[in-house]
Amino acid sequence: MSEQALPPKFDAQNYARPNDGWICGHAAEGHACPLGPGRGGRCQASAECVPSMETLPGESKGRWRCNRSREKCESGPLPDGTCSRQIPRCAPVPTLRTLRGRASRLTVAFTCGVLLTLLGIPGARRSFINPGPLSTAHAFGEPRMGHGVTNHSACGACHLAGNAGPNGILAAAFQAEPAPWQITRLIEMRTGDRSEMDGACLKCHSGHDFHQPNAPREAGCSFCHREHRGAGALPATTDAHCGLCHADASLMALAAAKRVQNVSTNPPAGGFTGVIHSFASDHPDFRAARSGSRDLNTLKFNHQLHLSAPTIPSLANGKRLDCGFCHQPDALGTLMRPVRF
Amino acid sequence: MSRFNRQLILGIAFLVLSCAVLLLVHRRYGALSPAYPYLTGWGLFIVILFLSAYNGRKKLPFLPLGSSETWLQVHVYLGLATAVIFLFHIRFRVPTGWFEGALAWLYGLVMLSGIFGLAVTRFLPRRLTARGGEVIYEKIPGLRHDLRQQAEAIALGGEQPSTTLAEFYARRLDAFFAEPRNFVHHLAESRRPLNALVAELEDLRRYQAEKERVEQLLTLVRQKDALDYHRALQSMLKLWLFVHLPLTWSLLIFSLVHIALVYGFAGGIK
Amino acid sequence: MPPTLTTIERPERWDAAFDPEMTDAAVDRLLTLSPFREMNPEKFPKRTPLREILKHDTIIRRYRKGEIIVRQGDYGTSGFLILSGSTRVVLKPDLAPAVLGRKAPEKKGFGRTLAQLWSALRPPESFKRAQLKRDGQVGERTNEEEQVHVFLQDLPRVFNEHRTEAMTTGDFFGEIAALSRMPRTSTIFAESDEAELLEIRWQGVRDLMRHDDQLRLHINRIYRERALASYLRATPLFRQLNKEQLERVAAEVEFATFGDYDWSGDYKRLAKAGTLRPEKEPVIMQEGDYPNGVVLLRAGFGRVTRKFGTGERTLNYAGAGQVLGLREIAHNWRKPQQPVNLQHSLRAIGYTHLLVLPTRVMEQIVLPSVPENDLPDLFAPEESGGSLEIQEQPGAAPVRGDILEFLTENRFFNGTATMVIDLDRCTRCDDCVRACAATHDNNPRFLRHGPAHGRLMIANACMHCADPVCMIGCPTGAIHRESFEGQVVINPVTCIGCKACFLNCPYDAIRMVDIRDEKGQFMLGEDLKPISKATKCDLCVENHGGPACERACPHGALERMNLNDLAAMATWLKR
Repeated sequence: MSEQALPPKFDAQNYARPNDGWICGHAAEGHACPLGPGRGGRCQASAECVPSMETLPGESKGRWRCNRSREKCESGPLPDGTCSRQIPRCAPVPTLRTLRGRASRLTVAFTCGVLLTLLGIPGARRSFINPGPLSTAHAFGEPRMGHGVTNHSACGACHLAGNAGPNGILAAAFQAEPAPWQITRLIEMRTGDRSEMDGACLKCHSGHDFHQPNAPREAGCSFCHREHRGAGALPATTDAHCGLCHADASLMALAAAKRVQNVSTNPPAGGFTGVIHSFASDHPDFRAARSGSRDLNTLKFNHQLHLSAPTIPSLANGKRLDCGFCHQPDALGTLMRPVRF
Repeated sequence: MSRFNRQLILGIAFLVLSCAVLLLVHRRYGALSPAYPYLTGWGLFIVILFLSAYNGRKKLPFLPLGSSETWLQVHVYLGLATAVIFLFHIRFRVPTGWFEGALAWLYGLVMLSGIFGLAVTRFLPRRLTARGGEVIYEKIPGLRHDLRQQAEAIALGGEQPSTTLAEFYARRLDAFFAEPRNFVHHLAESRRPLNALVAELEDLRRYQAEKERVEQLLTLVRQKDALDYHRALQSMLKLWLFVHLPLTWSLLIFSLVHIALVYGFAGGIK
Repeated sequence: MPPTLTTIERPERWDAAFDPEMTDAAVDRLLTLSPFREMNPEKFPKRTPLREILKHDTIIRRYRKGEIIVRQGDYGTSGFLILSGSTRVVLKPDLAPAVLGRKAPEKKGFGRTLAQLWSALRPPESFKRAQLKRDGQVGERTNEEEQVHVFLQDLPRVFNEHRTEAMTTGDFFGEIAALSRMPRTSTIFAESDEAELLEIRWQGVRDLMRHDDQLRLHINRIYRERALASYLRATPLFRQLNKEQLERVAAEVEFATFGDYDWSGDYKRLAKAGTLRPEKEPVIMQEGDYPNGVVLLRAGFGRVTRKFGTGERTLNYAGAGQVLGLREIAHNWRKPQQPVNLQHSLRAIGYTHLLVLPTRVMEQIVLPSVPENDLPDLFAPEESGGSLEIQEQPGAAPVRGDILEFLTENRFFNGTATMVIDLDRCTRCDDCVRACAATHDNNPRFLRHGPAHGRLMIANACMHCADPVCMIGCPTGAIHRESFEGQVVINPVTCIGCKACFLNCPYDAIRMVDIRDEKGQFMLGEDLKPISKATKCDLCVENHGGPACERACPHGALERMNLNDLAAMATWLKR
């Protein structure tokens, strides 16, 4: 059962000033001085009034009179004319707002300090800003990101900002394509377009023109191959990646119209221009890459049964059978090795 | 329809609409477009700047910039909508890496502290009103001092001070009146510490000759408890901003650095 | 042990004389002067004899040349009779606001608005010396009775630039403003050097009028000519009447004043004693009586009640502009075979000034002119029997009874801009106070605290009352009403810190502050006493965008509300 408490007695004679940054130190004892702390929390305490000499008509000597605004004090001024009620100095207390302002400023200082430090020290910078470990292929034999990394110059192999500190990063940002203020250009970019970063791939993978000569558009390398996603192999390309072109009927029609003779493989009539929606659903059957070659594999393998039915036992290491168990890419990674069992 | 209901419905409608718009943008540009994280990123940054502008509006009450109530409604619902933009921006992937991780954490903390603040500002005032004893926050230390003096005078003073009362005061009540107490209990709306103290006092009254003094102490204890209640809840109503505001500054700085890093590293090659 | 009886002296009408130093000799002298000489003392009742009225309800005032006696726009409760000397009424054009102690109502310009960004750096209540410079056209002097009189410095110029009219011995002025609580319509200053005026407070004027035919006819005539005609023309009820009919109505209207003008002092006293009760308030209309006239409330407030048990239950309160008794009279006119009596009682709260139009005139002239659709609904049989639930009764207020009582007990209905705070939404963040401070040089002008009833708190901020008792008695004209939107504003330049308004306000909305210089030290007068000034909420009259407090509340908890009628409150409670 809750009973409503009565509001404590309230001083209606004076304004409450929550806008002030400091409160008189005596307020906690119930008698704040009327002057209040000055800017920056300085105690401005002095006397309660400035006494004045009052000579009534007919008197030869005057009296010191208390000049307090509310009501005169009982003791009155001292004989030498100073006020008898000197306000003791206090230690002004900051309000919550002032403390909050301090907390904000501290946080800003701390953040800037931390960021400048971590971005300024080459060793710390790399581990700090790296969004994820590089794939093994691109890590150039270095250990995984983590403790004990010593080669600080590797970022520059691909990135404009490279190994630079905060100034260099800023400078690189202003030289970026598109620049930070060119937001409308972002809207014009299409999925799969080449980005500036893709030029880095060509530094080593030179001449690795995308796909077949009759490909109607260039797709950026980074569209299919995402880096900084962890050590090991690059993340696998997905249906969505291939489907950028192969699921697009108009693009495939364009490609078919180009009729360029493919050099290395044995394409079907019209080139590899069938519209494919996903690998599992309507990818055409594979054929041998070189003309005249025959599939010597005698294994008739029921893929549906082995890869989807729940009765298939697991492998010895506890894993389930998947595509990659039999179908391995060759050394260059462009063609698949024949399955030999 | 009442004004507050209308605000709620408009807000939720806005949220649903913004999700729909974002989904459309998602489909149109595709999550796979290289521009997509840039677009969502700039969108997120501009919205966060606008959300931060609310602090500026509060510091300019003398300009006709619209009522603070409208600004708060926009702030809350736009803030909630940023969650959707954020998730699309990070492509629903948990960020790896220290910098991006810290950035995501900052965003999450600002968001959560904001939601916490919203809950607190909607639920605590009612409790304060129901309890009664309305008091201005800055006046609480003075009032507390006053209560303490009164309690000491009753317990330790008088022409015939009672040793039992004095001893009880020293043991149990001195600490109670000296400082704000029972912060967590008041937040949890628990009367347990108060009831315990009242029970002890009533026990004392049963066996004491000066029942009236114990009665007076009981009244003071209840007043002090109401004061503490107000202090606890009003503090909570002010302290949540100690998380929300400094972290927002941090978030803004991190975001600026993030923009510089993204453009510096993805904008070209050496 | 038998209970001890507490006896006090029964309060009498003249316990507080207008002038405690009025002597019998002075009264004797007055009785030899016109118009008192012509009055018949026999006509005055034993309780209020003419002699006593003169002794207790008047003061003899002396003015020097150029001293302002009444200011245009001031609220006053006294009429004046010129005993000797002459005065001048300023006709056209009106004196400049600065001359009357007002501040010119201008919104802050771009520079001053921007400067508020740095308002947090200013010490509390600080002024630059230049800000406190007074207008050169007026000066101040304190007379032997310690009263401050303001005088016009450059009289020849006043005469050159303004058309004035003289008034001499025997002329009366100010009685309409005193009787009807309307602001003074013109400024009047003393022309001769020892002008002697008799200031008669309102109760005196009323009683003199009541018992002296000449005075009553004289004041009646002036009232009808000046104050009544345009008012009737503007009242919707009389819109269809032509000029001749209006004149006939004006001739038949009776005006009356109930209650007590000095209600603020009495109110505070009675509220403390806990003796404010509807049953004790003067009755204007009695429930159950035959409706013999329509009551138009002109100024002040009335309480609409219905009998409930042994007491009177408040249904609503009625403010200026409201019409009562119309429905009953209109019903009786259309259905004379099923007449109804007055359904409610009307009591005066504080004071009320009203017009009564007899039923006969209503039936002959006014009601026939009103289109059938505009007439109020007839009473259904069950309505007039008092058998309806309280909320459904005709005339019931749209808010709950306990809230109505809370507002009425505390006289909050007076406010046109009452600060209402919903404690269930208020997070006690003080943004409102901060906004007020930011727009007033770092000085908040209200307290976020006040009487509360459940979740409804009426904070201690100036309510800009319909009946601004604070404005009575300001010697310099510093407190005034902005003519355009009606905000009550104090001009700090001309305020001399006399505390008249501070003591008058029944709601503790005005606070005295000691002003400081730009360094934050208290400014002292030449007598080394701190200079204090009265301050209060001014509804941000100089700022763009209206009251900053309302706009600054993030949770919709605070509103400046007109409580003269309860429509706004009813909507707000359900928002």
